[in-house]
Amino acid sequence: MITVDNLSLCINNKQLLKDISFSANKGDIIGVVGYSGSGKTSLLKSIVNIDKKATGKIEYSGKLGFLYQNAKNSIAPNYKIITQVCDGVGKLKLAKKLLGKLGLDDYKKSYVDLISGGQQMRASLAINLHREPNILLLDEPTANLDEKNTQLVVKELLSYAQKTDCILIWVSHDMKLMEKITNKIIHINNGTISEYTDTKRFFKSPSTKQGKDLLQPIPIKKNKNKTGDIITTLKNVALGYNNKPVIKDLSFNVSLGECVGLFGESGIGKSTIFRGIMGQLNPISGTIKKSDNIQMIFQDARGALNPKLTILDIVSEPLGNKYSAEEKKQKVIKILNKVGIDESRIFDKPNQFAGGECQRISIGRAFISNPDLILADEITSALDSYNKNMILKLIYDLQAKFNTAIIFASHDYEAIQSISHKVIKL
Amino acid sequence: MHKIYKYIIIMFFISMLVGALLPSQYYNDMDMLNRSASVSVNHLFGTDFLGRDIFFRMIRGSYNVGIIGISSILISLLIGGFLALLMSRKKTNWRYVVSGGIDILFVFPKVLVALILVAIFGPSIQIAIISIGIFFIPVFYRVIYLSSRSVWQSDFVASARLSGLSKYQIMFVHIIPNIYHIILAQCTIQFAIAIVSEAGLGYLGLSVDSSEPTWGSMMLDVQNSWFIDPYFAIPVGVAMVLTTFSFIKYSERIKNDNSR
Repeated sequence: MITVDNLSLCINNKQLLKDISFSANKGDIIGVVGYSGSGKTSLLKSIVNIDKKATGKIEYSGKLGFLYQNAKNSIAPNYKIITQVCDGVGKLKLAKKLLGKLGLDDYKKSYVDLISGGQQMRASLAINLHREPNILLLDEPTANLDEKNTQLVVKELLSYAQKTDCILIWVSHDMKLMEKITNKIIHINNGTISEYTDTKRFFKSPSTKQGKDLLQPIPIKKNKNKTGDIITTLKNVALGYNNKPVIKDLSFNVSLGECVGLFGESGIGKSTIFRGIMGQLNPISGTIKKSDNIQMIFQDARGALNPKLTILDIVSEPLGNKYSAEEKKQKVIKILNKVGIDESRIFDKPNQFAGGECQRISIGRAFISNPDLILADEITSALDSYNKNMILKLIYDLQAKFNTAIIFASHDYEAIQSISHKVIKL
Repeated sequence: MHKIYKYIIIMFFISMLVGALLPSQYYNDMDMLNRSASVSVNHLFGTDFLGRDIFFRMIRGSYNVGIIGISSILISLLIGGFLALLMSRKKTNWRYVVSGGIDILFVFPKVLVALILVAIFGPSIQIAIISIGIFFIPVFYRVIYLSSRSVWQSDFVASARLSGLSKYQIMFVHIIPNIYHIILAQCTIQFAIAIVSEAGLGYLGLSVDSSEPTWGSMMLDVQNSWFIDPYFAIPVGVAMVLTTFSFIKYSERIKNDNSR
């Protein structure tokens, strides 16, 4: 049983949460949904109240557990997995059983850096379940996982919740999953609860407009293929390291206004092609003719923004020295409006933005100097399906506006097909 | 009380300033009637075996020590830091040459460097600065090399390159702000080490010429009059311990503030 009363959170004069009140009974599975940056993660953190900045009353009985989205950072790197699951001294039998159930039998004696992302999340889950919490807070546990791992994690969580009447408070973007497993939905908008109802009712008819938007997938119409001049040509290119080709005999053209999809599993050499086009890597054979005005968008949006600079400095960087400070600022504000970042935040640093927002800023930065060619390297892979659709739509809109050529690399065929005019399978 | 190290650091710099402006008769005049005198109103910490005022010698000494510390850090930071920033950029064969040279420098004892230089030029404050500076180059090179290498490989540097920034622009806009706190913490800790290093050199008579006091040369004087006046060691020793401790503590503070 948990009761949250008038919970508010204010950091650096910014109201992140305002008057959040709700309560949940034993056995409830509550889904917390909302836009990226609306305060879902802040809500979970305030319930735990690690940094004691939240105000309001929180009452609960039993133990709290917290499963982080980034499992790797929540597991100490220097201890064996099994040691951490049983906290060094706890019930070893239960720990072994949990790891067995989660398919980690072979990795008991391993360390967190040596196992894959999905295994890390399962290990983190085992650590949490071993403590037998009565309330478990989950911060997008399945966002970075593939289908198989997602099913494993969800199944284990649900069976635990059923067995112990544990309350799950589950933050997620995955609407299909939320509809399937939760019995109540909290819809957060701008730091306040805009709706708290049964799952069935929420998915049948959300009472607010934002709720309706949340449920609708964004339809993407394909650009009309109005191609211009050829910008970049690859002819019989072989690329690789130490004279060992990773890519052999690759030829294609990219013209202005065209989007070329590069489809292939991770590790097949998509990034190598990009390094060749950027000029960081010389081709072993063949020729690459390219434009000088190239920008790139990366998979890890946060890593692509210098944490010490303000958004204004980051986004205006490609403009060079041609413009005055005031002109630069105007241009930055204009492009940020297009990608949906509020202009009052131009002096914020990247760590004040959510993951999806960081990717928008990267996109704005790539488009600001009106480049001929944009290389997009798995830009939607780290995002949840909701953010993915938003980003794809954004890229689509901006491309139509700026008439830029895009090479879009991904292992997600659906995403590639939705925006590219031709697809190259590697 | 737990932030006392801050006040000690401030006091050190104030005493450095006062020491810079202090006329030489205060710390060099010999009061022959009061040799090896104990604490009194005229001589706050007493006098040494030549009748010179210990308090003023300590203040002047802090100025000399501070100048040696700051200058040697500046020299090593500029040389080692610049080399490290350049070498961490790309995998080139130059990297092995420079790293090898730095490693050779690292195994070269600073006392030996100082001895060679003193043998050629005679003892002076510049010699102390250069020999401690050379001794610090490998430390700064390694720290900055390791921390900047990961920044050079980050995505935001890649996109800065695509935007046409030169390598020096990238250094100042992207690399240095991201390793700034590491450099600052290292400088602070090196300052503490510089004080101790100077004491070592001064004790061997390799630091400054005899007209100027430093904490190291005062330690040498203590040894000469050890049986007559052992008390003389206490003020300098305490000052040295407190100052080095405070700087090390402060460097830890910088590290902790930025690792959150």
